[in-house]
Amino acid sequence: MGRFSSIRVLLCFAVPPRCKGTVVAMSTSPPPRYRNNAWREHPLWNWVGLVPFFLFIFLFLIIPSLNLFTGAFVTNKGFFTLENLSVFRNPLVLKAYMTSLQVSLLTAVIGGLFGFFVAAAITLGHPPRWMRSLIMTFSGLAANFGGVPLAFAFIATLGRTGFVTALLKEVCFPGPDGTQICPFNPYDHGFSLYSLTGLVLAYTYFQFPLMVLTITPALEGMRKEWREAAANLGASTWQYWRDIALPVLTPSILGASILLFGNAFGAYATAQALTGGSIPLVTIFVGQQIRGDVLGNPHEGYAMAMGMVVVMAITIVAYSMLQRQASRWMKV
Amino acid sequence: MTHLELSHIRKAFGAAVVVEDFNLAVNQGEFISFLGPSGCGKTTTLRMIAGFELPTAGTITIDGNDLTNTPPNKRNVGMVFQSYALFPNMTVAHNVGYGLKITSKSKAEIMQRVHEMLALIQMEEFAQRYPFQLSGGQQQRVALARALAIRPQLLLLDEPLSALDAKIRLELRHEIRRIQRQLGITTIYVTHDQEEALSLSDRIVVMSKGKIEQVGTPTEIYNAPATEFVARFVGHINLLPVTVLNPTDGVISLGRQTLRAGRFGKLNGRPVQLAVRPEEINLGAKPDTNTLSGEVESVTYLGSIVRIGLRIEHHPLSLDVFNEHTLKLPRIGETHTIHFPVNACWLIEKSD
Repeated sequence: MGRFSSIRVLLCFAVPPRCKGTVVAMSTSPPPRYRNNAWREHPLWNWVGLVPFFLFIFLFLIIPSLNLFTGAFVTNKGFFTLENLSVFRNPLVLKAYMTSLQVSLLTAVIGGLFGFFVAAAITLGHPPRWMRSLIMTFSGLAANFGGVPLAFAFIATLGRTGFVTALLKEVCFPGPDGTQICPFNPYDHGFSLYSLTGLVLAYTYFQFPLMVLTITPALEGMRKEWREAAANLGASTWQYWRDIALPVLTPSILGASILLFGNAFGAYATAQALTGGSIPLVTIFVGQQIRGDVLGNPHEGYAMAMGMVVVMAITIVAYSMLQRQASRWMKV
Repeated sequence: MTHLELSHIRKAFGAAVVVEDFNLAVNQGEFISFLGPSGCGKTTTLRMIAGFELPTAGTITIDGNDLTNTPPNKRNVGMVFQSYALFPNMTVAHNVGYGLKITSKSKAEIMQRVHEMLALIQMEEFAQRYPFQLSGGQQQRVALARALAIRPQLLLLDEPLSALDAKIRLELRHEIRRIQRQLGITTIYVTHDQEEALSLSDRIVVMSKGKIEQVGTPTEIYNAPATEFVARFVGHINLLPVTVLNPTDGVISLGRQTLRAGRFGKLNGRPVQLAVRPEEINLGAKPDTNTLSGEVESVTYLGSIVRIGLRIEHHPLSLDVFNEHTLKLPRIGETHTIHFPVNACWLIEKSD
């Protein structure tokens, strides 16, 4: 009897219609007690893991940004003013913005293209696994190897007394008129590491590996069957890239490009260490103003930094619009 | 008339030979299935026909033209992939019309053909949708329309239904056959699903370890498998080790019980097995048939049929009975007599 009644109670839980006639017997026993776990269902719990991140953002992005924005509109004595914005009428500052934009665009394009080809070579070219790992590890390292060490590495390599410069001085190159140039000193032929060209070269060193790191996953997501289906329908390799691969990759390429642009636009230490501030970049100007040089005005520095934020905001808005257009076929 | 011919095809990846001495002549409008387990070389053979792999040796000709070394984009062969492979950045209409756009057809011509193809797969109202807005079955139908839009001389289907659920698979199977018959296009279909191969094909090529085991109609493959592999791979079969008593009349013995094989080739003294399908065996005894007795080991419901497992002379044997309401099933442990017609069994050489 005991065995059957327990089976009946179990069935009662599983299949409610079977409870008919069992209810009376069940009502004599105390109702089962359940822990109230409803609080676990609260949507706020989904956000708990992100609390440290939001805290970090608040402390190191929101507060400094607010400080920067308010600092751009106050005098040294703390009164509201628009005078700091007059810095944008200074031709030197405008030139600094232009140079920064130029360097950022140039290195984003050069680094982006070079990085894309390297990433394509390691994903589509099927090199040995160890080679792929090697390139990815190098990219991870080089993308984060900026600042003063990078500047000194370049000075030791391509500076006036750098070892590559010294090596080049030992070899001969044919000149434009067919005569041999011996020795070949690149500094006698217009090259200087301490110029805009040198800066672009140094920036490219960390820009292209960043492109490799960001675009490789997108290239890996390109399915072999798309290429085969295109070939099957009569498409050449060029037609496949034009009609399928590049449109599919465009959102990722745009995302990577904006990252590269921002990376170069905000770079400071490499340029400062390499050129000693001789090339006018916004970051160098901001640094000079905030560092408190004799003629420094931190509030003008804040205004220039705010200008940089505006440039990046415009870039991101433009990127978002392009991204939306390019990825309208994507699942949202 | 031979449309596609594969002669002495061999494919090796380094030391691994994946297709060996593959010979096949396919007639115009024929529906051929390559059937075999994973890794038997069926997809590699299909990819060689499409031009995605180059044969290590042998030739591939279509209508007498040697295409062995022709690049895939010059072959005019339509292919449908297991994973649909629709271009995600193009709408259904653009996917279907892409092959025609490549050949620089006029916009009007492309539009007309796209409409024709979408009507063929009954998806005209989906023209402006993107692949992500379609179900798996719809995507595969679009992939089929895309492959057919270029009017290929050959249609290749690489396990096109494997990624779909059972109901859609059945629907699409019928649709593929309907469209193939309607267009009369020569089709090669790769599958590891014997039911698909049996229900769709004019002929089936059963492959194992890179080699052809048997080529035949579905009836030939099922009713007269040429090798033990084919017998075991296609459908369910009983293979009982027997001793030949009289090679002329096909008289054999299974332990102490004597039987006759309906079909047998030249018996050259090698070990043979008696092959008989479960559906050919009935419970009870009947005159002029092969009659055996054994102990019931299992009774398994399979829906419309019930499979009864017996042990006869230490060998397992199963028989299928229809699950009728009058059916009286034997109990496990009982000894029962079974019978099957002499013509329903045959002898197969035991493979190495």
